[in-house]
Amino acid sequence: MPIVRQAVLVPEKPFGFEHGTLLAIRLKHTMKHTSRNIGRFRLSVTTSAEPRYIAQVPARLGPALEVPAAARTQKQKDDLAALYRSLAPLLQPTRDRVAELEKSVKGLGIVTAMVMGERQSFERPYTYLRIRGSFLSKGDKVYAGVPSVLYPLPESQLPNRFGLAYWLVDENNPLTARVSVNRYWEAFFGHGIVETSEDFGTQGERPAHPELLDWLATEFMRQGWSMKAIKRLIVTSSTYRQSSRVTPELVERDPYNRLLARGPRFRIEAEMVRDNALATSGLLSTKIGGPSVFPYQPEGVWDRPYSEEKWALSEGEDRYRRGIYTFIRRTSPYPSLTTFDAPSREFCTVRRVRTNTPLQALTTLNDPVFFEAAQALAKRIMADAGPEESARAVYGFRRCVARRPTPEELDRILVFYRAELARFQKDAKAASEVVKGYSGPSTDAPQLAAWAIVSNVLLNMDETVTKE
Amino acid sequence: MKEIPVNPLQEMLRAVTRRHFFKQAGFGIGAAALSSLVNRYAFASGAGAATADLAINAVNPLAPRPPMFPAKTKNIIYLFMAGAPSQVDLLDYKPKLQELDGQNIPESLVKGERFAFIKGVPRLLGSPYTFKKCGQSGAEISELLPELMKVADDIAIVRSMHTTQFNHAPAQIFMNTGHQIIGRPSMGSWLTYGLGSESTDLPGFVVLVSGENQPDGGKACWGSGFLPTVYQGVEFRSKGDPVLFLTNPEGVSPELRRQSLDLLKDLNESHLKSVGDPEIVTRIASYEMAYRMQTSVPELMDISKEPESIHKLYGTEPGKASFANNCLLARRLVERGVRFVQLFHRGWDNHGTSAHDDIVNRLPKLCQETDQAAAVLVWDLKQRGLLENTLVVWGGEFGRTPMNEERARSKFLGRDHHPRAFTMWLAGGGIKGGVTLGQTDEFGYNPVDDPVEVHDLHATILYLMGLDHTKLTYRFQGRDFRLTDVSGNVVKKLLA
Repeated sequence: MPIVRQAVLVPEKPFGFEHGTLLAIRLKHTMKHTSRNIGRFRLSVTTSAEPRYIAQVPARLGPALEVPAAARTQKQKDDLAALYRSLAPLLQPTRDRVAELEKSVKGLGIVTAMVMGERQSFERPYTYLRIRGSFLSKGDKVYAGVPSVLYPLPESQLPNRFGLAYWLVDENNPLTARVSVNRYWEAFFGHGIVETSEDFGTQGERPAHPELLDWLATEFMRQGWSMKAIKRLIVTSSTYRQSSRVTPELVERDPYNRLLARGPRFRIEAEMVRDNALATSGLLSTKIGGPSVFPYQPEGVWDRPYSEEKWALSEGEDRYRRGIYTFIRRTSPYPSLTTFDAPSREFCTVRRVRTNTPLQALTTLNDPVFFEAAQALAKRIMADAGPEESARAVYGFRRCVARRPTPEELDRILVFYRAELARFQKDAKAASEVVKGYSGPSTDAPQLAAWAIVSNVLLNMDETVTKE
Repeated sequence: MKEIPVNPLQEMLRAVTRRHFFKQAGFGIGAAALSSLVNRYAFASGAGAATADLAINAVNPLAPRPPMFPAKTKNIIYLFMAGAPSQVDLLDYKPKLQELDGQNIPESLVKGERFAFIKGVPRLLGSPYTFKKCGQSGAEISELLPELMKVADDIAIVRSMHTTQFNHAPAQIFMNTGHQIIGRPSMGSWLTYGLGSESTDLPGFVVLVSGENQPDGGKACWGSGFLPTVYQGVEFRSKGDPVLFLTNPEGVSPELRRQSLDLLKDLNESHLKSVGDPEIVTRIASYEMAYRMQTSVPELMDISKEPESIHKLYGTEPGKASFANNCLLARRLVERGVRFVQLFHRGWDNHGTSAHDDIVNRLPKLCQETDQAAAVLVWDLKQRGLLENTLVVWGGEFGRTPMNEERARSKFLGRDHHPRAFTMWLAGGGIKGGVTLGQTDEFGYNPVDDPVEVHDLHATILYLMGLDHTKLTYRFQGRDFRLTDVSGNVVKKLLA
């Protein structure tokens, strides 16, 4: 980028000759880097006594100054006013204040993101085919375009990013809306109408309900691509509001629920498993945005050759942020997320495979993050649910699964609670370990410990980590 | 759109065989019947006849599955020497190299070559070590590996390995996943995906790490890539919890844990009765296996009850983190039916920039750390009758140059990365003992006979496990992927 600079050279003493003066100016370009030398320069000479003031007026504004004030165009007036504001000594305090404010805005550490832009060029952007994927074997030169099997680029559009954007949302292009609504559907039902939500091509699965997919896609476009509207449409449908209960007959006829005769039921995703435990217990920070955070992770997970980087545990609420804010390093991803099938970001993954493993059980039972959630839930139970044991049990249960326990379930929880309470009343050491960090009256410790163990169980129920 | 035949194994995995569960177990199952069902994590008979050969039942995707054809071996112990050991100082004897020590390498060999660190025309570096012909086979082994000499007739030495990668991380990733960029499933993941595991209370794929630090390739070396994470390697750590989150929180005794899991099971069963989703049965079973692991893993990791004679042989010390301890643990793991045990020992990167990474001081030390335990492992497996069912693999991610690196005119002797030729050894599990396969040229620079590429090694390992490497596939992003990508040939000359 060229930088506009100027130099004003003032002679120590005025000089000049009676019959005119010839000035010879010699520029010596001695920089080694030719690109850093002066280019496209302008030389001006004046007889003014104060040339520095004249130099403050950029050359491009010269013509504006020569026009009488009343005859100036609005642009010229604006330019001159802006120049005046940048120079007038009277406005110095205001300028200082502006500079100060700008500096303090910078100090806020607002994160900026780099965004891809199209390179300005006279030539169409191109690249080369690489034969068999090898970067060393160059094939034909190719230009940007859209897949020829699909709807062609509209006549009025250029084959650039802008044209692509138009093409993507052109009403003749069925794919964008179909792929989008299919992903929303997948999020709600556990699988898309097209099961291979990442692949609508020849290698993908056929849609289970092609008409439904097309109708949703056209509705999406008709409602101005409103995600809120399409999601409302899905969640208020009678299909979505069905019970998740399965009968042997249903399982026999449709084991994977492709025909949607019942409501969805599936384990929530890795990040949600974390968020759910933190939200249920009241620990979750709802802070939005900002740099990634470092919640608790066991020692030694980050131990790599030629790297001094350490997992620096975040302070305060940053420990309890939503799972999506967790710092991910591909070679050592956050274990509690990968255990629940979060990808390690090596591939762009649209659809996650769901597994069910003992390592998941160990995580939600014993990971300090999850045990802390159990302790926090216990505190809420004691603080918010009154003194009655059964009311407390109901409250904890409802916080986890949003329904009341059946009488049998409630009974079973209370029997367990009373047994554990008796245990902790006898074993003060165990109680104080379970409620570590608790600073209330010590007579409450056994109760709190027993509720923490109950909460640990409630947070591990299949129903707690399952959407149904 | 044309119909694509779906991989039957994958189809099974996709949503597990719920129908069979219901057929077998009946619906509205009583709590008593249910708990007896889930008592054993794997109820392998749960799968129906229609898919019996690929049965993956609802409860355990790791349940053992029969191989595609009779297998030569059931388990693998892979000793991964991360950092890349020097073949010309250990297993590829080159008298000519010793003779021409200090002379420039012929320019024709290195013309146009790119090295990690070497610049200009490097000088040949003969091994400062002597080699011995060992056993009946007369395999040539360096004096640095005196213990390996004793099992020379049990191992097959492959001197003609070569790879495409010359930096540690991509080379390790390539060696473990068949592709140099992270994201593909590792060998252990493919094997447990194909065969399941015979262990009901340990993971099917276990990783043990020793040496300077984690391997350069990181956890991607044992990642499951696009396969379900149930097939990823589980690291048994030598410090802290052997398995992450294995230990109960403070104040939670095993008895208390048992009682809380009983409550959890009752609540889950109660909900199973009301919604009927067999996935809940899987969840109950996974908690029961987690509970069993809390006992079985510490029991496994505690080697203190091994007899003194065994400790002497391996060079193990209970409680210490070492390669020797990991070798003993590897044996204990395969004894318990773990399918694939992979050890990583990082440190072989002997460039010769100082006494800490040269072939005169550092290399002998690394051999001391590993030779005895690796050789005794082969011996111990054999004397227990386990070697015929256990394949042992030893090797790094590439080789080292027959030339002295002399980085910044270093006075220490060392070798640069060398992908063109390196040496590995294999033992047991269908491997012909006493074989030395492949030849390199007189400097050990290029293989001249029987070159073996990484995918050939993978194809051979899968073959020994009873799997056809061209048929063990998984469809992802529209393509059937396999460990050997589009190449690989079984190395027949290695087979017993």
